[in-house]
Amino acid sequence: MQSATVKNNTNFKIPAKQFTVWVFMVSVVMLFAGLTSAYIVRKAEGNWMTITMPSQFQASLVVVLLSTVTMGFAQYFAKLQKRGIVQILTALTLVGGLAFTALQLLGWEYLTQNGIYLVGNASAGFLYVISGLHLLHLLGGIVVLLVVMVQLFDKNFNNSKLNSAAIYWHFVGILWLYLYLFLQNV
Amino acid sequence: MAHEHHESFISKYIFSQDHKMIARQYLITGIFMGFVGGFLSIFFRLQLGWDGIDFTWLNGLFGNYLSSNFNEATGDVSYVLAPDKYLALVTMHGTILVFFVLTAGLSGTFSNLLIPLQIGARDMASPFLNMLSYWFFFLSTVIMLVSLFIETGPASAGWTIYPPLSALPKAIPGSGLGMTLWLASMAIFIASSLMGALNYISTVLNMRTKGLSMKKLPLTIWAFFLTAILGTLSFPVLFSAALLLIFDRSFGTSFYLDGIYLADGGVLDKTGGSPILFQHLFWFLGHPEVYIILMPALGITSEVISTNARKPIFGYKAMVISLLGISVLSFIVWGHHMFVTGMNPFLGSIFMIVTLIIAVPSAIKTFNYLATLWKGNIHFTNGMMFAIGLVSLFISGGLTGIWLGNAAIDIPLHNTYFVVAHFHIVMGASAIFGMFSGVYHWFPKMFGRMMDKKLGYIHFWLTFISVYLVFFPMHFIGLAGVPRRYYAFTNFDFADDFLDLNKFITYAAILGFAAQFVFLYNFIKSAISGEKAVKNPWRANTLEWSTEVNPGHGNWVGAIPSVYRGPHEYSKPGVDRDFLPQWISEEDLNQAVDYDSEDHDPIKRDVPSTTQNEESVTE
Repeated sequence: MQSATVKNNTNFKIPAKQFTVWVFMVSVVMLFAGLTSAYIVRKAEGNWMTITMPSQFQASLVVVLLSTVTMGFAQYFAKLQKRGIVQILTALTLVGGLAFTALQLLGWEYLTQNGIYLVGNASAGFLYVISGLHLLHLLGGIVVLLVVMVQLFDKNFNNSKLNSAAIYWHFVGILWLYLYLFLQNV
Repeated sequence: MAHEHHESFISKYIFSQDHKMIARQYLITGIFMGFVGGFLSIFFRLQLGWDGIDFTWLNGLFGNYLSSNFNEATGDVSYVLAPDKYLALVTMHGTILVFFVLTAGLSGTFSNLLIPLQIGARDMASPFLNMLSYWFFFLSTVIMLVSLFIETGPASAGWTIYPPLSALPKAIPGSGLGMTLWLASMAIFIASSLMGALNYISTVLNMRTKGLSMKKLPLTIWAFFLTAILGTLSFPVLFSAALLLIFDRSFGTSFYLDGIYLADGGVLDKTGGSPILFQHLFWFLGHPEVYIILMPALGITSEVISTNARKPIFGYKAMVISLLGISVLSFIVWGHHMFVTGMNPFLGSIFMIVTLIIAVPSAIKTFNYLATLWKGNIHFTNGMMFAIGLVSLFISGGLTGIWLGNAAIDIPLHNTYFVVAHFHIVMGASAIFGMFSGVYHWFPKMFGRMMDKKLGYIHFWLTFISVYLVFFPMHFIGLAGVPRRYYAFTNFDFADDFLDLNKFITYAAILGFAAQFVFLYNFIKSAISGEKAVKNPWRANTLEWSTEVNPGHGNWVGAIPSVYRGPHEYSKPGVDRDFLPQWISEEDLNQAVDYDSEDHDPIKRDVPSTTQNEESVTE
């Protein structure tokens, strides 16, 4: 690891590592921008099956947005140094993430039961790939939250870690809002 | 060197988090891959020069590329290059040079080395992520190299991996396992370059030393910074393209595939996919990728030319604005790679106009390089020679870019050797020259020793001459309509006239490749036993020269210096020497601190410094 003398000047209000999270999110945005624009281009060429979103995806949208609210409150109470409440709220957020994962899987099950498979019309392929890739990003967020949960037991916990995790969590929540509206309406 | 003793061999040389060590790791891996990619090109150039040439000597290592020919008259067996493996060779040559040498090797080396040193930071924002970035790159390198030696051969669909050739595992031998390994390697490569880019961006924005505003950044850092932004925005799109391709290959989807006719007479069981969709996604990365390769080389050139012309760079602001302009434009010109895909001509003309507009910032940069050289007190160091070489190549290749950007000219020239000549000169050779310029210039910073100047000159002239001898004739072959990616030209009457020229090109290519061994010898010899470097051997202004030759992890033993001025204050009137480093304050200047006290100074010994100053100041 770095030795004590390896420290940097910082002349920016956002901590460098948190800023890295922001830049990472930009690259994730580009990933989904690539996929959704491919969706538009492919759709314009015809031979396209219109799929109604399963109700599980609507439920998962509500769940993930609620979990960003609990995450937001966790940040608020972290600022007030109320460690116990922060732990409960972070745990609630985690539960939200797991519920989201379950609902997405149920949504896929519903789709396959209705004869919509990954193989077949490209619209179904896009639906699975886009929702699957989003789920992978959210699972990454769950891993980060688990790490933060463990670190919250440390006496010298630094709020910036929670904030970085929270920024990412809000991001994957809002990303699903965008993807849901896109897949539903475009 | 305050804390080096804490580090074990593994943490210092292998899993190092010191950006300077990571830079060296990138450089050495990049040079190795450069030789691999160069060798592959000699391999297929021999075939192009002498169709059916005997490759028995390569049978031991590259037997999977050869097919045997039995000569009934003599009873001998000879080995020739198998036609499908010719495609494998050009694919891997392109992939290795574009991604592994000129993206990771160039940007990885110099962004890592120079960003913390030139902005006055102890290390990157996340040294751990930086280390991870190198090891991901290393892993992708290993996978790509392994794919060279599998029985069915590596990926063969061209470095652009267009479907359906890349999407149908049974299309050609290279579409099978070779293509799978290519995709696996590139997925890891993309992750690596994203980790690098995240670090570069956060470090430049967050960790500049006191006084170093963006307006005082060296042009190298501007170039690396914008390159990282381009990478962050464009590589994810390549990733999405590759992801859909993987689904088409392995999970039976039809994003890029349609019910096409197969060679065995059947019809593919797919509907509605579009291979053009892949091209759009690919070139949305592919064109910015050209600038991801070129911009670091341009940044290095700016710095090296200004330092060795002993003059401020002409038009610093214009240089930064040009880089910004190139960065923005690079995202809206991808269609010029696709003029022959049946694109709506109206859309084509929009892509044509924006493409031609790129000539403006490019010309501004070229003009500024020349204007910086104009009446400069030029020191022809090895780095400077390669920087000037880049300017020459950038002009030669840029001019044909204006031809090819024009749809009406591109359509007949598409897929001919004219295109091969154009992009090899403007982005291949130019960027390689930028990389060499950087290696010669910052070698003292990387290895604490100087490179051999005479060997450097030999390397430069052989390389410079052979680059033109290889690629200039290709323009004529291409104008005559000779297509690229052909295994041989002996079966076509129209190409007969160019058989001798093809031999000539191959001779020149061998010369160029041989010259790189001069570089390799010089590199290794100088790293081990070269003349010891002094702190600031080129008498340059930027912060990396303010620290010790080997400062250890943390970059400055004491406090980090503050910055008081721009990076290019050379030959400033009223100053008694021809350079004024960024870390010298007005106060220091008045007290006439002896900041270049080392007597062991190669430039000082060559030219008496007093006359040199007077000349450049009065001019």
